Amino acid sequence: MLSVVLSITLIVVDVRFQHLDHARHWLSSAFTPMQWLGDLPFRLSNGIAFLFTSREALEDELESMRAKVLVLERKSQKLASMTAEMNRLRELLKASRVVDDDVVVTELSGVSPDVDNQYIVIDKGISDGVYRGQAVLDDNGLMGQVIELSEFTSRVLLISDGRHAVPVQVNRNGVRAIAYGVGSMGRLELGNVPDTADIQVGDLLVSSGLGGRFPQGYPVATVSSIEHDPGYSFARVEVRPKAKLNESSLLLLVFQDGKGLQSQSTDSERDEVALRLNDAAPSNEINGEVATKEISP
Amino acid sequence: MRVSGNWIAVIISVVLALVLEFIRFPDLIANARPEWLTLVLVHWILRRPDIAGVGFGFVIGLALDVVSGSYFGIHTLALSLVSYLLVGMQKRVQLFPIPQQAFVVFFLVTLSLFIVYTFESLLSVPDNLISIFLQAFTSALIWPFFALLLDRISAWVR
Repeated sequence: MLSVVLSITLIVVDVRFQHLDHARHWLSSAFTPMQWLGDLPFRLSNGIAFLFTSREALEDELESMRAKVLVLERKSQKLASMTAEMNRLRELLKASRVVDDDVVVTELSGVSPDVDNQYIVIDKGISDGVYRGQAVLDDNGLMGQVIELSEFTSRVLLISDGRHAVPVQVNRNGVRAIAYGVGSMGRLELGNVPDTADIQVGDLLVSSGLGGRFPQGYPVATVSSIEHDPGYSFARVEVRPKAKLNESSLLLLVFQDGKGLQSQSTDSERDEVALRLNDAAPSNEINGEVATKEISP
Repeated sequence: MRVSGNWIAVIISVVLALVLEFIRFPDLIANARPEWLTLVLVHWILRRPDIAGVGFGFVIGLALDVVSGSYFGIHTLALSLVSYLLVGMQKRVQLFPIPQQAFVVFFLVTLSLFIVYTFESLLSVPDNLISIFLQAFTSALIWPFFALLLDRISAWVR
C-alpha cells in the first residue's frame, strides 16, 4: 500500500512540478548502454546489408550524390548573395536581420518501441549542448523537437505525435494555421481553418516561427486533402509531413540565435559561426554551417 | 553466497529485459511487443518470493517509466498493484501447469497495461486499446520460453 501512495505522489509531483527532471535525466543516462545494445541488431542488419552491396551499386550511388552536391552547391552560391541582399533590404526597412541558423548533424540511435508514442532518440545530449525544445530536421523538413535530455542522448518528439502541434503558414500566401499530430506517421491535421481560408491541395506549409519554439521558414508539410463540410464551421485539412519521419537516420539539430552555443565554446568551428552572427556587416557567405564532425558517443 | 548469486541473476535478467525493451521491431509487429520487464517481475515473484515482492515491482515500474517516457509513477503504480496481486496468489500459481501460468501472465499484463492506459488517458495521450490485448497475448505466448531462459540464467550464475 505504501508503494501505491508513493506512486500517486510521484505522478502528482511529476505532472505538477519539474523536480523529477533531474532524476529522469540520470536514470535515462544510466540506460544508455542498454539502449545501445538494444539497437545493435538493427545496426548489425544494416551493416550486413552494406557488406553485400555490390561495387557497382555503390559507385552509382556515389555518382548520383556527386551530381546532387553540384546542383546544391550552385543553389547555395545563389542563396548566399540572396541572403546578403535580403539583409541589406531589411536593414533599409529597419527590420531585424535574418540570419541563418547553425546546425549540427546527429544520428538516430533509437525509436519509440510502441507505435502510439511517436518519439525518436538521437545520439547527442547535454554534453553536446542540446537544449530542451530544440528543433530537429531531416533533409526534407521539420521532424520534431527535443523533449527530454540525458547526458549523451536525447528524446525527440515527432511532429506526428498526438501531443504535438506546430505553428505553420502557407508558403504561397502566408495564411497561418496550426498543424496537429494525430498519432499517424504520414498525416497531420490543420486545426481551426476557416472554410474560406485560401489553402489549396499541394500547398507547401513552412514553420511560421510564431510559437517561438521552432525557427521560421523550414518546410513542414504539404496539403494533401481539404474537406468542406457544411455542417462544420471549419474546413478539415489533412497534410503530409515533408520529413521522412520513419526513414531518416541522419538528422540536423538547429541552434537558434546562438542559443545553447555557449556551452560549446571550445569548438572553434562553431565559434566562428557565432562571431559571424554578431558581425554587423552583411557578409557574402552563408552564415549557417554544417559541422560534419565525427560522432563521438 | 547463494543469496548474492540470486541478486546477480535478478540484475542480469533486468538488464536483459531492458535491452529487449529497446529493440526496434518493424512497425507491423511493434504493436504486439511483449512486456519484457513485467515478465521478469512475474518470474522472480514466482521463483523467489522471499527477495522479490511489491518493492521489486515498484523498482521495475520506475525503470519502465523512464524507458517509456511516461510520467513518473504511472508504471510504478500499475506494477505495484500487479505484484501485490501476484504475491497473494503466488503459492497457487507456482504449482500451475505452464499453459495456466501463461493465462495468469495474460491477465496480469492486461491489468497493468489497462491501469497505465487509464492514467495516460487522464494525463496525456494513451496507447490504443487493441495493442493492450495484443501485447498481453504475445507476453503470454512468450512466457514459457522466457521463464525457461531466466531459469537457465539463474542456474548458470549459481
